Amino acid sequence: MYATLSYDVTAGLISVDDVRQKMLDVFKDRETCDLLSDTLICAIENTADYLALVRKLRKVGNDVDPQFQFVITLHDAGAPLRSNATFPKAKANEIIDPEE
Amino acid sequence: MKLAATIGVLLCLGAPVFAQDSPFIAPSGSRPLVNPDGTYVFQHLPHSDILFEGQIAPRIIIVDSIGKATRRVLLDGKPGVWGYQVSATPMVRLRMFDETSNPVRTPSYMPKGTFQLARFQNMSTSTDSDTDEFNEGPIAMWLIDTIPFGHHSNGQNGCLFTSEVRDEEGECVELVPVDPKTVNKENGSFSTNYIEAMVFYGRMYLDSEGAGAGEFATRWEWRGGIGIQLNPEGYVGGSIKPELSDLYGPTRVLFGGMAARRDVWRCGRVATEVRLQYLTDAPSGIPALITQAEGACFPRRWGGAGLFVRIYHGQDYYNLGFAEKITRLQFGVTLQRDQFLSFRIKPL
Repeated sequence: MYATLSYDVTAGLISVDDVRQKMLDVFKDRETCDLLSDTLICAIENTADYLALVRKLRKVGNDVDPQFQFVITLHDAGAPLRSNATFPKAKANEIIDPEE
Repeated sequence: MKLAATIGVLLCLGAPVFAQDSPFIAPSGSRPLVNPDGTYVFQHLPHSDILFEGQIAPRIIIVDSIGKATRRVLLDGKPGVWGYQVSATPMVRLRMFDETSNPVRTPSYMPKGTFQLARFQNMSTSTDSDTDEFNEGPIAMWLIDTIPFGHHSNGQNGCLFTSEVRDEEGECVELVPVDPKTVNKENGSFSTNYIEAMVFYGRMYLDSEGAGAGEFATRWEWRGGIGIQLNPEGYVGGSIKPELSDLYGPTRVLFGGMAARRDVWRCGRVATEVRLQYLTDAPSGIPALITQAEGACFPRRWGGAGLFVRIYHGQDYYNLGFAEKITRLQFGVTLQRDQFLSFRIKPL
C-alpha cells in the first residue's frame, strides 16, 4: 500500500529548511516520490506501519509547533492515483503498485 | 490400482474446486463467511465399497450486518458491536459406490436456513486507538448460530425396512415380522426436519500484515461452543416419522471447537476443528457419542481450495446409514470455509 502526504511548513523560530529536513528524515528509509515541493507519495508496508509513520510525523509537528502541519492519507496497493502533478511516473508506479 | 483410481477421481473432482476464488481475509464491510459448512471431496481408510464421498455446501448470504459491524469494533471506547446474518445453504452429500455402473446411492438433500447473531468487543488493554496494541485486540466474539429449519432426506419413496411393502393406502406394512429389521438401502425413504442452536465464544488476535489499507485482520483465532439439535415429529412436512425417530437419536447435544491461523508455512490458512455429538437417546448398537476431529491446510494461490484429513467415529451420518457405527480416517480436497475477519481502524 502507499500513502500521500501533503504538508505545510511556515516560518518561525526554526528555519523552514530545518523543519523540512526533520520531516524528510522520517522518510529516509522509505521509497518516496515527490509530486510537488510540499506533496509526496511513499511506500507503506501495512496499517501498523502507517500508524507508526503518523506518530513520527506528529512528533515532528510537536517538536516544531506550530510550524509543521500535515495530512497523510492511506491507500490500498494498486489503488489508482489520479493527479495533475508532473512527477516520475515509473518511480511512482513502483510505489503505488509494487510487484509481489 | 484402486488407490490410483481414487486419487485420479479426487483430483478430477477437485479441479472445479481449484477454479473457485475465496479470499482468506474478509475485508471489513464485506459479507463474511462465519462458521459455514464445508465443501468436500474425499476418500477414507479403511477402504470400503465407497469410491468417493462428497459434500457440496455453498452458503448463500441473504442479509448481513456482520461485515458492517467489523467497521465499528476498533473505535475509541471499545464498544460492544452487534451484527447478524441470514443465510441459506442448499447442502448435498453423496457417496459413489464401487459397484457396476458406480451408483450414487442415495444422496442426502440437506437444505437449511441459518440465522447468526454475533457480538464483538475489543479486549485490548490499551485505550489509545492510534497504537498497535489497541488495534491488535484480541477481539472477543459471542456467536449464536441457529438453524431454525433444516431438512435432511434422501429423495426416495421406498419403505424404510426391507421387510415392509406399501399397502393400498401407501402405508408401509410388515409382511412377516422380522427382528432385527434390515434398513432398505436401495430406495428406503429417509426424512427428518431439525432445529439447531449453538452458542460459541472465541477470540481473534489481529495484526496488519496482509490486511487491506486501514485494517487489522485476524492472524489467529479460536472458539468453542455448545448447543442442541432437535428432530421433532410433526415439524413441517417431511419431518421424522416415529419408526425412524426411535432408531435415529432425534435429540443431540452438540459441542464444537476450532482454531485457525493465517500464513503458516505454505498454507494461507491452517485450521483444526473438533466436533462432538451426544445422542441423548441413542439406539442400541450405536454409541451415544459421535466424535470427529479435522485438520486442513489451504495453500496460497489454490483459490481457496485445500487438503484435509479427518477422523470420524460414531453413528454413520449418511441418511440410511443411521443404524451403523463407522470409524474412518477421511482425507481429500475441501473448499475454504471460515474467513478471517478484518477490522477497520478508527478514522484519523
